[in-house]
Amino acid sequence: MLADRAIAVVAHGEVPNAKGSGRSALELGAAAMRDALRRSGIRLDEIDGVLATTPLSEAGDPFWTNLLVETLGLSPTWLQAIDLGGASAIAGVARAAAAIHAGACETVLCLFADAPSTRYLGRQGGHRAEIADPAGWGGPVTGFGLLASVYADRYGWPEAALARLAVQQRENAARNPNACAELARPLTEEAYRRSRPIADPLRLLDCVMRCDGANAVIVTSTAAARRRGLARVAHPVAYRELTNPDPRGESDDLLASGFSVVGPRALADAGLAASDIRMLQAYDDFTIAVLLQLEEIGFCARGEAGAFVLANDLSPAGRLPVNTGGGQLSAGQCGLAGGGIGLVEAVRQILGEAGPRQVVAPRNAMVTGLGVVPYAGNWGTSAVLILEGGSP
Amino acid sequence: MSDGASTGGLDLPEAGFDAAKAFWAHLAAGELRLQCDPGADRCQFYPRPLSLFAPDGALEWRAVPRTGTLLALTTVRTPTPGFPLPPPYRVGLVRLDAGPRLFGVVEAEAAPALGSRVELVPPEAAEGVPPLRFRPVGAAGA
Repeated sequence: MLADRAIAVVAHGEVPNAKGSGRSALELGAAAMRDALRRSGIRLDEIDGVLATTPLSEAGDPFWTNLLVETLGLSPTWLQAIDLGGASAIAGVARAAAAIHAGACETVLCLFADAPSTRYLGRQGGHRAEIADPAGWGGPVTGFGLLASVYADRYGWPEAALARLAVQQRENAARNPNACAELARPLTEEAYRRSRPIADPLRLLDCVMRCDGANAVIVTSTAAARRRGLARVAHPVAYRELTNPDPRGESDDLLASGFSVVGPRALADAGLAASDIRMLQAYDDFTIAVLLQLEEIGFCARGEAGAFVLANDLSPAGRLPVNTGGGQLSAGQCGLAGGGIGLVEAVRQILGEAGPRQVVAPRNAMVTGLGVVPYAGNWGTSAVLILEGGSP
Repeated sequence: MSDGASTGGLDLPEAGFDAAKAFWAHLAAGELRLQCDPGADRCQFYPRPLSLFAPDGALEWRAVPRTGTLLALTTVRTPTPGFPLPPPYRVGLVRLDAGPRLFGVVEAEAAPALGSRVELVPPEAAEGVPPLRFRPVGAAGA
């Protein structure tokens, strides 16, 4: 569906992440949409499709996307909420592409806004409330602490590589004006190692900090982009997702995730090898999640992500730049808009608009998403999107 | 699950799902019972409104051994709102011998190695005691 390059991401918008901004998801979303419209010259009345995540700061509102379009003055013929957690943003691009292919709409605003550090209304039922919480579940950090213990037991804890990653992403964030002010400053490996333990073996600086923020992309047909006379766009050329990969809980390999399925499939769809990927915007709720993805997608063998991180320059000047805007670890995790951090950065890089952290020859980018922590497993949704630069 | 009559006084949040209530009620009565599909001869956890092995499969509550193998272990070092234990406390993921994976507190002086044998501690209807606790097999009190 995507390999023919008939779909184009033509615009990106973002507001600076901020902790305790005091602003609502509607305010933040409006600002991100305005940014995307201003940059692209697309008019509000040209938006005929809207896709949005449901914010933690507005959880409980069963009519969020209607409220959003009403408030923003939009009148879409296709309107879609998406709830794949951190995978929502890239999954949204794929769903927007499908809607455009189906003729439901032509120009889709994918808008991700959340203000969980100002107001948190999220509440999870089912096993979370009834089984896991009473047993001592402390949220995703507990789940990743458990996963990390398995990695440490099997391969040894790759502390030097995690420190390198944490430091590099801070350096990237310092060159990103949209990064959270609390995070956009240099970090030393020593400070990483001294940060307090949270859920062994995870330390504070292995984990994201929650903040408020919003980001957006505009997806349209390549034909429409050509009519607009756009010089450069980002084509989504491959997308794969998998949710609940072990539905009967049969695997004892807690490190095996959906990425071992969707990573190779997305690469094959795009006709690329992992070594062809120019940059990786990897979902990074925790540092160890990045290492697990490097292995499962196929950038390196299992157990070798630590050595891979130490042996390669992952900076924007390197051969495989990773999380060039600082990622969520260093730009901040703006709740259910967090998955858009890597997507918007990838589009910005491919359009050559990343300023002091611009990757040279940004021919393509892989963006990943990881969504929802299940009971007694690793994570719910694994998703991979590959974008390629092009001239419509 | 605030009804002490059905929980045996276990400190549990309000639950909305019948199968979860039944699990906790069995545990409060001192029994580890899991949903089992007799057609597949397999158990499942967490409790669900249908068999994971056949959508039309029957489900019965089967008493199963309390023993299992420790798959993962972490130490929670930040307070967990609503949870009775102050940090630090250990939590583990256990593969029960009956099949399913189950998550609970691990009580041990030193951190048990992954792959070691653990067993579920009988629940105590006492304030501040979490309902799902494992100890190394052979540890005092287990």
